[in-house]
Amino acid sequence: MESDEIRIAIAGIGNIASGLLQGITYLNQFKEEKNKLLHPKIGSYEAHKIRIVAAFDIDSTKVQTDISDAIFAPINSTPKLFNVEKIGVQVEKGPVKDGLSEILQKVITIADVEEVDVVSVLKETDAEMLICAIPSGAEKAVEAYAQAALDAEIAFINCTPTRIASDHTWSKRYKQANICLIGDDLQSLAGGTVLHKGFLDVLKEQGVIIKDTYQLDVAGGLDTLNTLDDDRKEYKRKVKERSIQQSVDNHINIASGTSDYLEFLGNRRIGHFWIYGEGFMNMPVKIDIRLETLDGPNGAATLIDVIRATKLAQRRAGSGPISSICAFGFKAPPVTTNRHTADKWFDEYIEGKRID
Amino acid sequence: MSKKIRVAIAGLGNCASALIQGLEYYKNADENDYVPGIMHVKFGDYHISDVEVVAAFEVSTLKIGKDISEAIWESPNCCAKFSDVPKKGVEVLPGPIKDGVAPHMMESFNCYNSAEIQPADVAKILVETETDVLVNFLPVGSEEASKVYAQAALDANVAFANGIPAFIASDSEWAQKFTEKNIPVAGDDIKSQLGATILHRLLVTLAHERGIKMDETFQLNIGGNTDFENMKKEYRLATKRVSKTEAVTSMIPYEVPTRIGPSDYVPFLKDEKICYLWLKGKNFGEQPIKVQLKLSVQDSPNSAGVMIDVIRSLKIAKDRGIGGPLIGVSSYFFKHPPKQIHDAEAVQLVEKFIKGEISN
Repeated sequence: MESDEIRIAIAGIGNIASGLLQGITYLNQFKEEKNKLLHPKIGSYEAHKIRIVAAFDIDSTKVQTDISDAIFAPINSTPKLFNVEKIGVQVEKGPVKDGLSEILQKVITIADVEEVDVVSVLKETDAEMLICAIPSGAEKAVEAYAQAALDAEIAFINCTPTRIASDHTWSKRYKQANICLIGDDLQSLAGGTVLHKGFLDVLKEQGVIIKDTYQLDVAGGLDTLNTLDDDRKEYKRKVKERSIQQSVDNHINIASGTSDYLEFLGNRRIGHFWIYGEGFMNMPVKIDIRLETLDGPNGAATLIDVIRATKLAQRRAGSGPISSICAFGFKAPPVTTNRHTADKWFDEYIEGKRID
Repeated sequence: MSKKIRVAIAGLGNCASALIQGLEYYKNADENDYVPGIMHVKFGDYHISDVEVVAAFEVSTLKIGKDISEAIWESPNCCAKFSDVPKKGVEVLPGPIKDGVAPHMMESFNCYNSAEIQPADVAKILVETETDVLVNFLPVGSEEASKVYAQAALDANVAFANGIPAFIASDSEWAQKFTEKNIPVAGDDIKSQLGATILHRLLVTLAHERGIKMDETFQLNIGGNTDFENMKKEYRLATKRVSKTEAVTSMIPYEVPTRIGPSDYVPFLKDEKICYLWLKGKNFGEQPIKVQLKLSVQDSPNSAGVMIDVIRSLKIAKDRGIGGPLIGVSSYFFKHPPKQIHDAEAVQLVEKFIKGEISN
């Protein structure tokens, strides 16, 4: 019988990794808590059976420490929600490439050790998939990891907004190699984008014509600091705005993205929403909301479902981007659709009613 | 002592539009009535109808050469129209550009070509038009251009109202220049009538007085006018951040993690400005207290409602032969004054100043 354990490697031991490892440990102890996940079981796979077998980072405070310690390095702002015992997996130094923006260089020291050969590590540890969760904007570093996964012949999950799954060339290469490719830009389970799309969906269904809307957030995580860089900010913003425009039929005024870095917020993200639309007889409809969440756990909650679905896709010999998984868990999937359809696709895929 | 106040304006943007419209809107206001939207129908001896604009300087080719009553409706101005403005017979003149136009604003501001158009001699115009008060409404970040106008005011013996966060009244060297020539100056960075700054100051002052230990606070501002477009670039708003932040942190005697600033440019908001305020602290037994507040306001009229009093303060000072920075007036009406004074106290100083009980 095939083992239902899922062996994952993760690049970037930041807040997403912290949320993921804490989440898995937590589910191991409180198995009934799996009901708070969208999908307690995906195929035969349960969340607590996810095992981290390899980890990569470049930060001197994380490299060559046990991942259970590295996730609580001071630079990570995800709070210790749960005690994590040593798991015997040491963080290795991955490729630096363009991994540090000017802003990040001020707060991170690169570990003064040799970079490992990521492909060898992936092979030696029998990793089944590589999750890329390094800071957004590090295009070359993301590509290096995408290449490593391809060379090691394991699936790749891209949590960053760098175009991999939604890039024609990369998706073709993965398809030819019969390897699953998932991405891009991880969407929080109960985050701003999902909520925003949800509101727009409901309003549209109820016959309200949306005129303009914004969803602007501030946060304290490292990724936020990084996205303050003008070019990266514009890029992330476009990804988000495209994803939201997808929810409505008419062209609307949208402003969506991260406005500012507030160090003292730590892992908290505070979003302010505004939606203006017109209903019957041009009746104005206004929605005004504040949303506060924690980035780490919120991203990890989506990832736990994505990892298991990816394992399922591998078992079914999927190749290239799996549209349903990408649309369900990511802001910039290769095939975009509205939230409602994405959820439906995902469920159908799990049940084996869809081929991708 | 002349009964009229002759005003020149540098930068005919939304704030100028709101001010010029306001002069029409309130010209018949009865001081015995409860008049919505203004603090003083009469400020000392001066009624709003005593204020008249006699000169205006701009860099936009859409505005230069037009009567101010027409120029204020030109793009990119988007201040709401709340009053008709009849022809005034005051033609908009080309002003010095200097650093008034950021590279990313060249198009929005329709800036004139300096090879074709010569800027007016500001000091000369101020003398010719017998201007009493020069109002600086240039875009945020216009450090050099503001100094050119401040110098022109000094040269022409004209009082200076500095609406933007280029530090003049609060800069000891510049303040000294105005004091030496006995010319009144008020600034810097106009505080809106009921805007984010005064609300935030009030909130933290109240929290402190009531024994709340503040853990963190933020003030996020978004808007769609050129002020916000201009401030998209961080280098452009260095002094703005200082001005807005100090206006709040100076009210608290200890350090609180604080973030204040223009946060985002959202074009479809136009002249609507939205502010999100957040304050988290501890009260009795160190139990948590959180305050969140949203303010939505038409940005430009909010500043004009204050400038209309600043102009009259400066004229009163001139009438009384008072020069240098006006301390109480600057503190109550501006974000970055020479001296930060709690608003409850500053408002008393303004009233005393009007009555002549204090000199500045």
